[in-house]
Amino acid sequence: MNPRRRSLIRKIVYISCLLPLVVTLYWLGHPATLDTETAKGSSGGVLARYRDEEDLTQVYLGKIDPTSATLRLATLGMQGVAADILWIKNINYQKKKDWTNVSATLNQIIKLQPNFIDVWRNQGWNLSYNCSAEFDDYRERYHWVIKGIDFLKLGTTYNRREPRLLRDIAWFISQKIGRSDEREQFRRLFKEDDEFNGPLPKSERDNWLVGKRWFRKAENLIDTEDIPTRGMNPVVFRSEAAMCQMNYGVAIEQEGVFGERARMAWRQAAKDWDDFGQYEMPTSDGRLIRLGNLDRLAKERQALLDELDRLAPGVRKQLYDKRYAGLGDEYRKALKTPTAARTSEQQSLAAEAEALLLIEPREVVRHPNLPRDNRTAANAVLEKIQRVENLARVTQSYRSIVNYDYWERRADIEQMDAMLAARELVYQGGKALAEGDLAGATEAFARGSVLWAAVLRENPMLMSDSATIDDMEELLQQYGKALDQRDSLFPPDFALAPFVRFQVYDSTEWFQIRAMLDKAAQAERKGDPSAASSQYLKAIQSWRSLLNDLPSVEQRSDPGTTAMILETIEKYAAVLHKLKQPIPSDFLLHRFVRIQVEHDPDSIESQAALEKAETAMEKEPAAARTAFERAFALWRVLLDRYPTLLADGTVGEEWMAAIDEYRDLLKREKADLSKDFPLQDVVDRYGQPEQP
Amino acid sequence: MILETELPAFHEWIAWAPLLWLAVVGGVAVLGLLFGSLVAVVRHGPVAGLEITGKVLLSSVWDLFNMLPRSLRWLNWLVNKGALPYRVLAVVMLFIVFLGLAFVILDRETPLSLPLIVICSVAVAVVFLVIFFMFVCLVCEFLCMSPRRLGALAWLAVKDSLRRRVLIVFILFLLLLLFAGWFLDPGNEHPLRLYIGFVLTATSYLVLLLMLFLSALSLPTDLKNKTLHTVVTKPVRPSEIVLGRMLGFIALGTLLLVVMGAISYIFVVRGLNHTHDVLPGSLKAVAPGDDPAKGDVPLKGTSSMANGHRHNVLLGPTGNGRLEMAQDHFHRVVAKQEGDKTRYEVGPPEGLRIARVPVYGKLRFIDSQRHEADKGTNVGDEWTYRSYIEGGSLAAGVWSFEGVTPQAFSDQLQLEMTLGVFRTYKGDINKGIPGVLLLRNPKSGLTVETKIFESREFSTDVHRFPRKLTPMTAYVLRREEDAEGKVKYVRDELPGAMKSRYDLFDDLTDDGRVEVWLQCLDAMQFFGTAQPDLYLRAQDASFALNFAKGYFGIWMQMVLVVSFGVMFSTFLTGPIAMIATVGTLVLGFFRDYMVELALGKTYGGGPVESFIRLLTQDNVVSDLPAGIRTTVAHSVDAVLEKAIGAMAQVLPPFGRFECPDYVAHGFNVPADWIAERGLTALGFAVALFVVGYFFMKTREVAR
Repeated sequence: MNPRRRSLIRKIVYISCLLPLVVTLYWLGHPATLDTETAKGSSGGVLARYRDEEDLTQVYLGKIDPTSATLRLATLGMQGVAADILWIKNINYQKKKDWTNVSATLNQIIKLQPNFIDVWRNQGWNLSYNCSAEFDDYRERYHWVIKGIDFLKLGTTYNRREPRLLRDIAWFISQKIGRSDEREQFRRLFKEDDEFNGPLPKSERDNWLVGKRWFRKAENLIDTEDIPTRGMNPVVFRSEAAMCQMNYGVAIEQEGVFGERARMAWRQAAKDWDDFGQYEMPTSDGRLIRLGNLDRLAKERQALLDELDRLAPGVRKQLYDKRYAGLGDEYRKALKTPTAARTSEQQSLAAEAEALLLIEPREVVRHPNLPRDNRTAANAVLEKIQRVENLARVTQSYRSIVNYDYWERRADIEQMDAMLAARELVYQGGKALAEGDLAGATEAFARGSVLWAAVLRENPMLMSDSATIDDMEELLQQYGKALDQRDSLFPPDFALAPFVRFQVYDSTEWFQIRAMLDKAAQAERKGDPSAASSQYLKAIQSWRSLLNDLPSVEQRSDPGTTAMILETIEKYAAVLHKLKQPIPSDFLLHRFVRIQVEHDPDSIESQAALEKAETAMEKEPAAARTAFERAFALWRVLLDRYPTLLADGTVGEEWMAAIDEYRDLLKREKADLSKDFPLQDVVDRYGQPEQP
Repeated sequence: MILETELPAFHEWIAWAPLLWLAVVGGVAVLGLLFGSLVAVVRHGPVAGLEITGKVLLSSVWDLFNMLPRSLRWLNWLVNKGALPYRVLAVVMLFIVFLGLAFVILDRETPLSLPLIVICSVAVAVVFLVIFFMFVCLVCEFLCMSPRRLGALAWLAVKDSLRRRVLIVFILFLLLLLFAGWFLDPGNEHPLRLYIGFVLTATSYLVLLLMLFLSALSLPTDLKNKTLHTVVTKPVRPSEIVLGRMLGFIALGTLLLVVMGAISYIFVVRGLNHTHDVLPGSLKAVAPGDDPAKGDVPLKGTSSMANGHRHNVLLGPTGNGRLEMAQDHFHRVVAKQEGDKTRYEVGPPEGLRIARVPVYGKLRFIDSQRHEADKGTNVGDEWTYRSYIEGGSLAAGVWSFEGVTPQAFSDQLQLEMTLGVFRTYKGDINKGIPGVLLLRNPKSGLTVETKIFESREFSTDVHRFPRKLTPMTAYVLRREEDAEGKVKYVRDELPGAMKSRYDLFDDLTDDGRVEVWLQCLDAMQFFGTAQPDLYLRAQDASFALNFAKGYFGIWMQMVLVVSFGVMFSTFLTGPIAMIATVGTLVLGFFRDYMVELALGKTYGGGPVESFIRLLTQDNVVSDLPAGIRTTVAHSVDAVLEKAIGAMAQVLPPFGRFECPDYVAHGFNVPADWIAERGLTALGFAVALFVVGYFFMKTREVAR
């Protein structure tokens, strides 16, 4: 073939192959154009339309950055690979603590992939939580926390339709600054941070309030632009702004701000929580609920039940009576016993009986005594009841996710005068203690305890709330410390004794102790002291573990509990006595007993006598001897009152030293201990054998 | 600054560098040969291809052979008998020899068995012989070279390059600098590191890319356009063509680098230059009782924002003072009275562009029983660069310095250190961890406790020891060695009373040797430290010179790229030569990784094992299940790893020629570094020239 002709044919083949490709490419990729005055714009090719549908166009996503666009172009579509390589480098720099390059590579990564949300979120987290923790100086740590937050803020300019970034900013500002170990320093630095806060007045520069503002921004974005809350639980997400306000209240009170400012903070918190309760949110099955509507639902249900009872007069009563008659005697007895007086066995029986006696609306509707004419209406009511119950159940389960009831109540309680005053007094007590003003501290703690007790009486739900328990434990610990330094115990009418008792009764140890004491008593009744002693020992071990959790009991924060412990000890000693076994020297409650003895009036008197004896020893031996004997007589009383005392080496050796001094005194008169010496058992146990 | 591998002293390095060079030369030759034979085999079939390779190889030896005295003609059998099997045998033998040599060098740490020693000795002897032949051959070639012809050829290369519009690189570079502000974060804590890193990286990318194109495309284009024929018709030697090209490109690259370096220097200086204003409203009295309005009292405050940062201001009673350290620099402030108003003039940034000359010591550790140990405590840090000193115990880090004389350090020692801190409990977070520095005379054992300081992690702490030291306490730390050779330090009291002052040089140094002991004072807290973390600071060097040294690193890389490009272009077509050079460049940057791979130090095993893990999505640390598959994979990997190791040995370590870290961290690039890297680059360039020359010689056009 003619070469020219061959070349022409080749070109035609090439062009005919290229043409369909070009057309396809145009169909897929031609860009959209805007409307002009004269012509209507086109919606572009398949890709352009798809981008538009999925909100992926750059203008829609956020800021267009020429650097970023240039860099992405320069990588010839390989920005993913480039970002991966940079990411690996970043990890390596972080491992080698090369912070300059960590920041530099991050800047490059985000220029390459500015709309990859997880990059922003992950690296923001990395800077604020991981990198910051590498620094020893808290100022540097704060700097890196802020760096992470600034990084996320930058991310929002590239991705303005991304509530997750706003939520992360809010979370870091509120939780990272407000909850870390260095929160005291972080919160102070945050207040002083002009660069970060800009023109925001200092009074509003609280991390919790600023965090709340960012949560609100995220909520607004979702509400105004109708963006789904991707990956965020709507209940938790919507509660966070209000929770920030609550935490603000807690934080300022911890820093010593009380009075009207604290009350305002909590008032706002209560309002925010109420607003949150009224927000209509979708459940996982698509129903819409309001967390604050539970009471309304309960009322609605009650009204429907009443209506059902009207439609089926007397049916419920008949059903109840029949079922009650079918209950066993022990069940009825348990039900009749007042709740507080029920044994643990009765408590479970009563609970079972109550469940058995519960009349379901369904049973009323299906009962043969329901008038035939009312059946249709009753079925309609039943359906309504079931719908309301279902909604209430779902609402309740969503409420439990955010602990709704507790926070609702807490925000109200914290506004109470007594509560505010109680917190202020406890704060002042702590301050006085730190400054060494023991009298002032005990006074403030005592008054604070009275107020706290009043609050707890009015709001018993707080007794089992962990935050309140933490507050109380701190109060008891600090008050106990102040009392210990003043060498005294909690006052006999200590206002928080009921709280302490509640904690004792609420503990798992208490159930064990009760069971073991019951068994021990049974064994004693059966005349088996060996089994009884083993049960008492177990009870003592449980008391020890309970004392570790509630150390204030050792200082008689609840005299009732102290008495119970002493009673257990006494019984244990008596059983051992029967068995002719000594009390072991490693008895677990020696320390507890020692504290009780130290504050026993007889012990105090014996100390005075001993001091008197020691001062009179040289000059007035006769007076010294009398004083010694007085002290020993009192110790005898104590030994009989606290039978385990003899086994306590610390006390034994201390007493023996006094006895030795007494002996020396006697030796001067060429005498020795009399045969009826009251502390002969102490001498037998701790005395050195006489050298021949 | 972090120096993970210690730079060996030049005299130590030079002792083993030639051996390494031999391996490189041999390795480059073998790789070139393999590549050439592969091309020949593909083009002409296996038998003819190998024969051609043999001829190429032996033709040079034959030339040489003809120059030899008659007594050495016993080698005749190798060349003259001419049968193909002999030639193939020769090639294979040579290949084995080179590989053997590379293996020996690679496994320097493993003990050598007798047969291996014999093989290696023979191998080394043969290689020496070949190199000797080559050397003689090259010397002859050199003697025949004419500097005038060489110069003319180099100039031809330069003119040729200029015709190719290399100046476009300048425009690109200027554009980059213009828009650099977009990439460089002005608020960075260490702006110099960022700026230096940027200019050096940008320059090296641009220059290396340009040189890659020029060197790899030049010869093949000339051959294709037949312009080379006009050259070779003149009486020029092949070596002159190769060397002329190399020198021409290197000269051009050097010129480019000089101009770019100057522009970059101005860019860095101008970019970092800034000033602040003292904000009069922020000024408060330092002492709580003083009234700032009265004047004559020390004041503190803040400065205005510039370059993404602000400083704390500290002014003396006269009004003069300074903006305190931030972003590695400070400014001086001079107060000027204008009527009843005071105007504060803030000077340019200082302390930013420096080239510290550190004198490093040798670090060893002392454990809590005062026994000597190689390492301190491991606190579980993934990065084991720093070893930790246990606080509240006798444990210490000890740096032994040499050359501490009054001549070198005049009347004081300036010690700088960067510490890592590891807390096992929170402690008082408002304060750093206290530590103490001790100076010990290594001979007399006299130890003086001088300074208690508070740790400041990740920042350089400066401590100055005046010549006359006031001791906090002094005692003797006696070195004791037990029968097993374990060293222990025992504290003795001073023979006499403690002096009120100790002379740094007379009492605490012995022939210029002194030890610095670092201890952590808080129990259960740790100081982390590595050898380069503590050094004595000598007189600073010039920053501009140091900056130039940074460019010298790029220059060496450029020389290597040109050498590779020209070498490959002597026997490959333009694009292939370019790809080969890029391949070498990329592999060269991963050279250290390849060595690690060959030594089995990487996670996930060798190539086959990693591939299996990729397919099975297995993690990299757990052992593969035992079985035939694993055995086969490990066996193949063992061979591949050795091959990779051997290949790594002949690749130029491109990464090691970069020194932005030194310049950017404000450390003087040591002369040893320049000498060692310079010689390495030269060694490679010479080896590549030799190979290029042999290839060029085989080209028909050059004969």
